Amino acid sequence: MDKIVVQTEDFDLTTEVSHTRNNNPQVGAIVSFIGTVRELHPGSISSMTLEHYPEMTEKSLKSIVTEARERWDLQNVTIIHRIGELKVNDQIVLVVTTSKHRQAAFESCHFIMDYLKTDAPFWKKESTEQKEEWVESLESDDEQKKRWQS
Amino acid sequence: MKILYFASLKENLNTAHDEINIVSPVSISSIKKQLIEKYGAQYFPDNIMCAVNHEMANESTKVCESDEVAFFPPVTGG
Repeated sequence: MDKIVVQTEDFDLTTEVSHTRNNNPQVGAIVSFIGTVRELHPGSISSMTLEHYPEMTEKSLKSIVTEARERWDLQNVTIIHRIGELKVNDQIVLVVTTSKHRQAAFESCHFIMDYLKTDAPFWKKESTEQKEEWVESLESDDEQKKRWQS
Repeated sequence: MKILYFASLKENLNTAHDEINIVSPVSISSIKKQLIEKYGAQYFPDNIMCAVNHEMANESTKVCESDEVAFFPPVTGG
């Protein structure tokens, strides 16, 4: 079964991979991606707050996974996205895809992250000692998504 | 009709939701025009995103009184 969760708590990669894999003998490939909070400039960011649209978030993540399943033959998929206040080096998002073969696992993991970046209603706000600022979206994220549409 | 706002838009408008009068069905572009008249065009730039009943929508999407409409800036998760 897929696991799609939005939570404040941290996650553990080994536990989640094992859960996604679920001892399924059909699984021959597992790919995971973790996004983390990084420092934009040395010492520039002290924390980050993730806001979301609660009623819409899980629905949009599920529809991204449904679209991935239409393109690749997948076994279980896991997406965990954290919300609330996070610090530099904290984990933000985890995507785990499992499939019979590596190409489907690699590509679907990449696809899910590219779509999550442009379609899932999360917003980051960075806070330093001086100011708070909403993170601007990147045109490059739209470009990355378009690659899957050609 | 109830309109929801998120992230920087919510902060800039200083409210998380709004009530507007509409004659159903109405397009998102008309709702946007109404909100621009109320708040000013600077708050609703071309890249502002919109969802109807928790799914991404566009300017031509038609809505009625009972639909949940939300406006928000481009998303930045992940």
